[in-house]
Amino acid sequence: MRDADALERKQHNVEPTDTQHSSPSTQHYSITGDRVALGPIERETLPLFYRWFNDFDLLRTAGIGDGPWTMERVEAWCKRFESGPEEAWFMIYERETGQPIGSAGLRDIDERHGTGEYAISIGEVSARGKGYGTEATSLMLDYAFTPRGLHSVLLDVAEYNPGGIGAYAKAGFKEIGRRHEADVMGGKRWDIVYMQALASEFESPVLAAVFAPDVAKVRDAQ
Amino acid sequence: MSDVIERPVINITGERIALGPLRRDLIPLHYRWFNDFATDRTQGDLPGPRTIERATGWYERNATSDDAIWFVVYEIATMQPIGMTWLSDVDHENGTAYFAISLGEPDARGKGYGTETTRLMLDFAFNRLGLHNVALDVFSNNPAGIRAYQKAGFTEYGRIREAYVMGGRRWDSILMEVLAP
Repeated sequence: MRDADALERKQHNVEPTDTQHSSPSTQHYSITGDRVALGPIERETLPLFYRWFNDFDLLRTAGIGDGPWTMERVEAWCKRFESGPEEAWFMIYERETGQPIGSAGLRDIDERHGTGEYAISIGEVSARGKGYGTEATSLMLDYAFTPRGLHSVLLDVAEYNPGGIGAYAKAGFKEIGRRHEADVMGGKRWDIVYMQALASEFESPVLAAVFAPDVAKVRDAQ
Repeated sequence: MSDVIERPVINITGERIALGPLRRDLIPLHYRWFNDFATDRTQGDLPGPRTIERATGWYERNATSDDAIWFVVYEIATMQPIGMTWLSDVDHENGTAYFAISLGEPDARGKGYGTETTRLMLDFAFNRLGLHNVALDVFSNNPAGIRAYQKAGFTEYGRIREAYVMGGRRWDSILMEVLAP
């Protein structure tokens, strides 16, 4: 948070909707980073997912199957956004425009072991290659470790997606294994790369301040 | 049916181990195995008491499952069921599956039966199903399991650090794989 306006926005967790860009009417930022923000996924954004999931370039690396995706299939898939305790999904917004650009989620959250699995896709073509995925991933790890209190977050990514691997590494994931020749793409076999982030190796970029215990605030005030 | 119980139907016969389909009349046996905490120690499920209804539900789901392939494991010497083994997440597009085994009978452990069962299942996965990569997860609190999997051909390809809680501490989840010969 670099200025008073930003601080104000952070305290209210809301940014004004930019109506010029025909944004969804309900838009709420739960976690605000420098250039992206994360908020709940509203039902009215389903048509966006319909468009994103039928982009074969996205499907190449998204790990959600090969498509084509009917609206009915998208609706069934998006049921997971009404998440129970095992899943937590966020819309990713580009702060500059207020536009939704993709989604990120934790799956298979296991409170007993403190583990979860991570997935992200940047659906908007114009939003790719700008570092948004890296920042969104860092904010998602912040969510997983700070308020959710998880111990470990795992992901898998295909060897043919070096852009993804680089972004995950920058956000705090480390490669912990490689399942050989376990993914077929373009008539060739590729490895599946496993990456893990541990709470003990992660520094909270945003939420440690938001979720600071009151006892610390009282102490600071004295 | 009594004939089936006396001479179970077998799909795959090894040297000391044979594999056959799940059987409804074995639900009481699975019920007993599911409630053995010594078995739970190495399985990923939440440990706890399991009712006969839960064991029956498990049977109903898996007896007709298309996602997983289950076998009952028999000791040939006695033709007694001693455990179960299964392939899950069978993916023919990518040629992959996950392998798992649970020998419920305490007397059947430590005899190399797990290793032979694993070999038979890999034979089935590669030579019958035509898969390319079979993987498993095993926790670092189970060195006997890790050794048996290594003997059967699995090698470690990764390690999820501190991802399993048991007995008041964290253990690694070890990822192992075998590629088709």
